[in-house]
Amino acid sequence: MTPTAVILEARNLGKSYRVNGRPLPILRDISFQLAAGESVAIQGVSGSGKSTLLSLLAGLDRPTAGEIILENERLDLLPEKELARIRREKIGFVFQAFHLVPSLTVLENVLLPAAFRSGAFSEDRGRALLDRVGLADRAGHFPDQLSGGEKQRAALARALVNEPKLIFADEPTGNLDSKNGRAVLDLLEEHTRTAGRALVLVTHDDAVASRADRRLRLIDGALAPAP
Amino acid sequence: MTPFHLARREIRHRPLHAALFVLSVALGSGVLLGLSGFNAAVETGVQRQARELWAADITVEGTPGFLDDLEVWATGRWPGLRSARTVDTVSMLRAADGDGVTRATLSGLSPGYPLYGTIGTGSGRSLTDALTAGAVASPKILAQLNLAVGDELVLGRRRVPIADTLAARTDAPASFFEFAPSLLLPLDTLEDSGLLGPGSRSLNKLYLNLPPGVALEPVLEEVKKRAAAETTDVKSWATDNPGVLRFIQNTLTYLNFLGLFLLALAGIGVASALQSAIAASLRSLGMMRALGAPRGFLFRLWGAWIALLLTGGLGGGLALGRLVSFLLARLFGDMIPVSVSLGFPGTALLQTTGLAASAVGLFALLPLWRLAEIPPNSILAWDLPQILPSPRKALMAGIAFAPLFYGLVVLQVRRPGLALEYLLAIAGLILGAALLVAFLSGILRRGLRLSRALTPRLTLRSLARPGSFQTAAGVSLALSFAAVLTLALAQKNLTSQLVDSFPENMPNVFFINVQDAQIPRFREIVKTDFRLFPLVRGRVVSVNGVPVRDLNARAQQRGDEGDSFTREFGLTYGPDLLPTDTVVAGGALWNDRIDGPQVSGFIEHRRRFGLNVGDRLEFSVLGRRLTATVSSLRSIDQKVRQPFFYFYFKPGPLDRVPHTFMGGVHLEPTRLLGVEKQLTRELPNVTTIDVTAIARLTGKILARLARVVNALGLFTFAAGLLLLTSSLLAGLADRQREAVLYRTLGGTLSQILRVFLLEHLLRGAAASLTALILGTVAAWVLIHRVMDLPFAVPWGPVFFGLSTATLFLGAFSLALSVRALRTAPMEVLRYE
Repeated sequence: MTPTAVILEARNLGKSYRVNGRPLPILRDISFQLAAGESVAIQGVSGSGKSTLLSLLAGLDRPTAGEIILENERLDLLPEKELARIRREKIGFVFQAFHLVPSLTVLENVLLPAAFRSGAFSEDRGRALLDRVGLADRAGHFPDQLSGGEKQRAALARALVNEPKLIFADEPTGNLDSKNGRAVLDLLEEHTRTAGRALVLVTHDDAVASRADRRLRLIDGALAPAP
Repeated sequence: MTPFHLARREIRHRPLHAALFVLSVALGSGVLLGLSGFNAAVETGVQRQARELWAADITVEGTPGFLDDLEVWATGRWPGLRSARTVDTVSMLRAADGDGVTRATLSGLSPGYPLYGTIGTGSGRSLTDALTAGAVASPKILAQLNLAVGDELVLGRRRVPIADTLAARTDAPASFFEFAPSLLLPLDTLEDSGLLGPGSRSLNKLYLNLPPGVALEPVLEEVKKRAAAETTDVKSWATDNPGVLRFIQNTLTYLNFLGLFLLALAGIGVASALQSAIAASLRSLGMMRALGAPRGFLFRLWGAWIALLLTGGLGGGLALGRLVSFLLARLFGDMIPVSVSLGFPGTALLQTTGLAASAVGLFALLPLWRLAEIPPNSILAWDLPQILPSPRKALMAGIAFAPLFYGLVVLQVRRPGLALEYLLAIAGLILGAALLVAFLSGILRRGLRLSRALTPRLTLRSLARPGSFQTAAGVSLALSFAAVLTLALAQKNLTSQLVDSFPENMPNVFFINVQDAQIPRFREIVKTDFRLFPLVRGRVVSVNGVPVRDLNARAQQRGDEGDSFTREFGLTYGPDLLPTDTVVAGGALWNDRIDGPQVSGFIEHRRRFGLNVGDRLEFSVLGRRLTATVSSLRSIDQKVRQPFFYFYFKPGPLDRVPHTFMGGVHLEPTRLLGVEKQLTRELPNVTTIDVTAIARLTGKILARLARVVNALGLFTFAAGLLLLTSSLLAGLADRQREAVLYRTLGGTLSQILRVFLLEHLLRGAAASLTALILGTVAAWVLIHRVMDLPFAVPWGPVFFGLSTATLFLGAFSLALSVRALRTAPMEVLRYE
């Protein structure tokens, strides 16, 4: 894999917390690369550090050791202001609990990342995205009027609004039934692989993980290829 | 999608939080605006009616002889100048037929009075016409003596027909403060009655109206200069306020402090509402941070939220301000000597609105500051970070903002020294209340730990729920209860001590204007032996050549608002120390080495005016000058309950000055009326001052003020309830989780409700007990230490009142907490 094709790289990443004055390691010496258009599933049992790894890779937290490079920018060295810029310009998120803002309409939720940038996107873009995820007729509805599957599709549309290079999906089907889960995964696949976006999928579900190009497993804080 | 758009969405989605914010702003700004508006209305009314209140351009108080000379000089100096004279004295009247007696304020008026304004009569004819036919009496006099127009009164040695009744008068419209009802008569009739003798206690005044085209200020200055030698009071409608108005304005200044305290409470309510709104939106805010929202975006979003609601709150404050102004006008009622038209002058409106907006801005900063602490990875955590109010940061913010708040207080009350005292007092009070609430809560928690039953143990966990705004709510409720309790206890004690019964060691009646030759017959009528003090009216002219007007002015410039040195004093003489006094400077009362007249002064005058042993005081006594050397300074113990005198002469210089005698004694109330009647018949110049009547008037004033303070206290209580509601909302999510957990584990709804109820009752009890301690101590200080009266607490009604308050708070809080039980368990358990 040539360096320019690599969109995300972790080198000897480590994270530990201090508990009662003693260091508690969560992640140890994690290294991997992710290319544009590639998808990787990170699996592990509950408490294995999946969320911690995701937050490091997405610039939501800082490692205690190692480096994170996203499109040639060292995330571990950037101040919070720059990390926020990177998150709104280059990264999209899909969460297990959807995390739509309850006081905003579906369309407004989709356009929210655009509101954080100085040059806002027009409503047309938001409507086009909603159309692509099958929610064109729900634009004016509020999140509590949507089903779980519809909420996750709206969250996916939100994740795509700023045309990110990389999407992080944290248990995206965790709160959905199998039919809706499959639909969301289909959409994720459609809008990442075909669009040349990388996808990091955090899941404990083997069936979900099998949809990714690569599977990695977190065991005792270290990352290894999944069997 | 601008921050304002997002803020509007947030407001529509969480209307309760928004409503709490708006109500807090409206309450804090509205009460202050109402007070400002009412104050401005009274000031405007006074300015509009100033001439009528003073009845002339210039008024001068002084001795009759001096005023005669001044009147002649002034009318010669300014041709066309109009003048009038009055003499006021309190005396006993009796019906010519019958044995009814009553006390009245007799006012002898010269023709032409009042020079401005009107004095109306019951029949509608002019005062001049009515006085030609006799006296004009207050309807209260007719009622008390069972008389009608046409009947006759006996005043001293004169019989005077009642020609008419007194209707409204512009020169003395505040009948609320009237100690004795008024009887108006021609000046020469009063002078002829024999009631006024040399040394009699009366108020003589000269009124001057300028001719057209003559400016007031230069004339006023010239009259003051002319009168300076006599140190008389020279006043004008343009430069002075009537005494009653000063009392009202001082009362309003202190009410302004209550308004500022309420603003501070409202500010805490604002911070609490904002805090609970942010807490409810924490997940969304964490998500926005994860999506890359810069910190500035979150500040702009919540800044827009604050701006929108602040506007609404100030609008609500304007409406509430109108209501408060109206309420104050109704509550003060006839205490206000002028008619007021309520409204908000531009400056008052701008100033108070600015003050309220600034206070809200200050209080909103602390929760906003915490926005920066929302970590971007919070969205991945199961439990949201606890963005809680930090007492340490609140204290730091308080210290940092105190100078700004002080500036705002000074702007409102315009007295920097008083503003500082107020801030320190309020800080001490809040700190004391907070410590008490925490201490009492700790005791209650320790009590719970002793129990093995389920409800108390679960309540213990609930009481440990974090959130210092619950403490703030408890403190504000405790302080509002304490304010109401203090006034109620003070009023109860004053009424029972001075009105319902009178301490036996305290004189309940004073007799004044007793002539020397009348003493034997006087003693026969009163039949009780007590000391009579010789009394001469006089003024201090200068101290070591320095005019007392200058000494007075210096004291006032220092902000010393105590007794004036230029007023008339009651002078007495005697060989030995008065029962009230202790010599504290000079070694002994009199000094044999001093040649000439000696006088002993009052130690407080040393502090205020620099008076010292050895100083030479020049007095004006009945128009004559008398110089005496200060031989000693005394402290006066007012607990001894006898007449006291600031200037006590050694026998000699005053012996032959025309004077009267006065003294105080305790008489059985059943004897008092008989003594009054006999004295009025045989010694009509002797005036009795029934102290219980003064006490009743004091009680009446206190009761009226209590109504005003209690009304404002209700607003303070409302602010506390808003705070309580905010703090309960902030803890709602925690309470929901608790309730769901208990139910999932098999707890019943009634068990959970008992836990909530016990928690709220204990918090309410801590607030009520704090109020009991603070209110009782404050009332004790006021009654026992300041007024030196016995103090008692009516434990039954107090306990009942505070128990009711505790139960109300418990029920109110429970009603708000029941929301937590309506949450579907799976909503919480599924983490969405």
